[in-house]
Amino acid sequence: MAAMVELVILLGGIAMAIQSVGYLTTPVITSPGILPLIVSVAMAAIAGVLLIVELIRGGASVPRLKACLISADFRLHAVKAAGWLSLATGYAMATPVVGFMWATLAFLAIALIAFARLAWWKTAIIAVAIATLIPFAFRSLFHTIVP
Amino acid sequence: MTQTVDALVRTIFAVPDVLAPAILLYAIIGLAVGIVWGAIPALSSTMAMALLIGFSAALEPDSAIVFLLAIYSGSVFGGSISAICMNIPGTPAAACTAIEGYPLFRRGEGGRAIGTAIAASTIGNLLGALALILFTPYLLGLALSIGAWEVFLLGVWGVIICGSVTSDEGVAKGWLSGLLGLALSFVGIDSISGEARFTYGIGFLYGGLSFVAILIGVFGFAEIARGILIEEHVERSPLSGRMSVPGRILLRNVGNLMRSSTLGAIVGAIPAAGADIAAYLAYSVSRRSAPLKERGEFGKGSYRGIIASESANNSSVGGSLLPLLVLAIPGSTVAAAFMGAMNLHGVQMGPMIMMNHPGLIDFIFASLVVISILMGIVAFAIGKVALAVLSIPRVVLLPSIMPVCVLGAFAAQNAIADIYVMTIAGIVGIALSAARFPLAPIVMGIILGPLVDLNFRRAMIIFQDSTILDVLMRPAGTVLLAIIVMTVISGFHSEIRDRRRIAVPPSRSGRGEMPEQ
Repeated sequence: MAAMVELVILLGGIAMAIQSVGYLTTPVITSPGILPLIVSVAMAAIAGVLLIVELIRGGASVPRLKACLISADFRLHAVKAAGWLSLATGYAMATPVVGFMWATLAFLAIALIAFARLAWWKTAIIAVAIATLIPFAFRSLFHTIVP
Repeated sequence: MTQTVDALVRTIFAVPDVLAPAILLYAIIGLAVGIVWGAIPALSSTMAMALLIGFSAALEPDSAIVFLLAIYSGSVFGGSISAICMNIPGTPAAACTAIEGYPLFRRGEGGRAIGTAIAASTIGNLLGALALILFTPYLLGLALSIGAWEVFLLGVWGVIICGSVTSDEGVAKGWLSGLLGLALSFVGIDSISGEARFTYGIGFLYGGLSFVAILIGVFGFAEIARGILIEEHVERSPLSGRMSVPGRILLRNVGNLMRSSTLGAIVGAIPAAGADIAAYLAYSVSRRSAPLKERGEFGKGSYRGIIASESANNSSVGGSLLPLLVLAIPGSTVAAAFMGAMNLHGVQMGPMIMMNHPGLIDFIFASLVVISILMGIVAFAIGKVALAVLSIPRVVLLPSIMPVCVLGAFAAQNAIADIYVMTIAGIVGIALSAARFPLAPIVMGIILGPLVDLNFRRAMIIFQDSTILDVLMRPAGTVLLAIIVMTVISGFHSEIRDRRRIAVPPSRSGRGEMPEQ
């Protein structure tokens, strides 16, 4: 995982550095591209070093990683993680489309049944209470506009 | 001396403004929310602040300041409740409180232990506020003499030190997180040339990435996911005994209280050191300096330990505001979030704050004093409510907070795009966290980014016709440059040492093992 993140940062750093060059004007030292260029080069350099170290160190642990990946515990954890991420992302994406209240109702109904394994009536009470109380509380306390 | 007396008098005159009913109401709500929030183990002070910044944008600046400072103080104390009753620190700053508080809870002295924590936190918070009032005028005078180059170096040092302090797995990962935060801060229209950078023709990127949305994504969305995925094995028992303040124990620990609060305020003022390091340091000093008879009680339930840890973590609140008010360099991630919230209200922290916003600094001082006193009362009143909330399973509680994340990200600018930014930041935060990258430096980077960029360019315009020698002739800048170089070298040194330690098998060397806690 660490190697993958470092690789993404390395590539991102290189891409940012190339683009920063486009923002350089004369005099270079005061141009809008100078600090992004310095930061992106530093980012790419550190990510590159970390990646090399990770690859040298990680080579020996491949069998252990394989054993971990095929374990039932890991698969259950991965399914749970993917499920939660999809649900939370779907909720955030749906809010602007269907509105905060309906999206919250649907999100909490699924989340509480699937993750907390609550009875349907308890889920309904909590979901309705939160979907109505949160907008009310924030609207009256903080004058928040609810999407 | 005159400056200190002046500051104290101005603070006293600002107290009635804080005591206005509408503002007082926000202080009480902020404290209650903060205490309950801090008590819940999966929820941190930074998360509380992150989620509620957006909402505070619609409030008057005075109400927003009081509300956010109350959340900050309340959440730092709140961590002690679950630490004492469940042996799980609600926030990392309460880890030492758990070591001493839980054995007391098991002995049936839970009420007294919480009472001690309330008293120590209240006094610590108050002493931290006093340190802030005493030292701000002097440091503001000094800060006025530094220029753009020094402010740039301070910002860079803030990001580097944050990366060094918060990383568990080598400083390089911390620095990389900080650089990532800085890189994100460059998105949008450049404030000097007016040129759009990294916007790719996408409309909402012209205004820059919303730091509130990123903060909520990193500390809300990602933390909730982590909390949901970690199995919960918690032993819950009812609170034994009435919550009371053991006056005799407090009187015996006056010296301990003063020393720990002073340490807390000093550590709090170091960028990113924060409440947890303050509490660890004060706890270990208190343990070492305890009389032999009392030293044996440490680890088995020591009130002395609770007092040291709680007074230090709360006094760091005032300490962390000191570099923020004076130099616009936050002393902790929560203070960084507070700085961001103030930016939303058009308040720029830093040396010019007294001139640009007359009276504001006195209002902040007075708010912290009033909040400190109020915290003792509110904590006693809602201590049992916090315990009741703790009995709600995490898998029920955490999904219920998700709607606050969505609404909080939207509320800061009433922009739908911020909900998407929050989601992406959350997913990135989960990936970084899984790869053991610290998340706090990202926040430090994104908040300090505009300050670093602006002052670097200003400094370069000033130095355009200067030689390197001219730049090095500026004493403050040279000292700061030396500090940065030393921080980086010591970071490299500890990185190499850590990697060597990992490489040496513990069975053969006897070294490379984690120290016993």
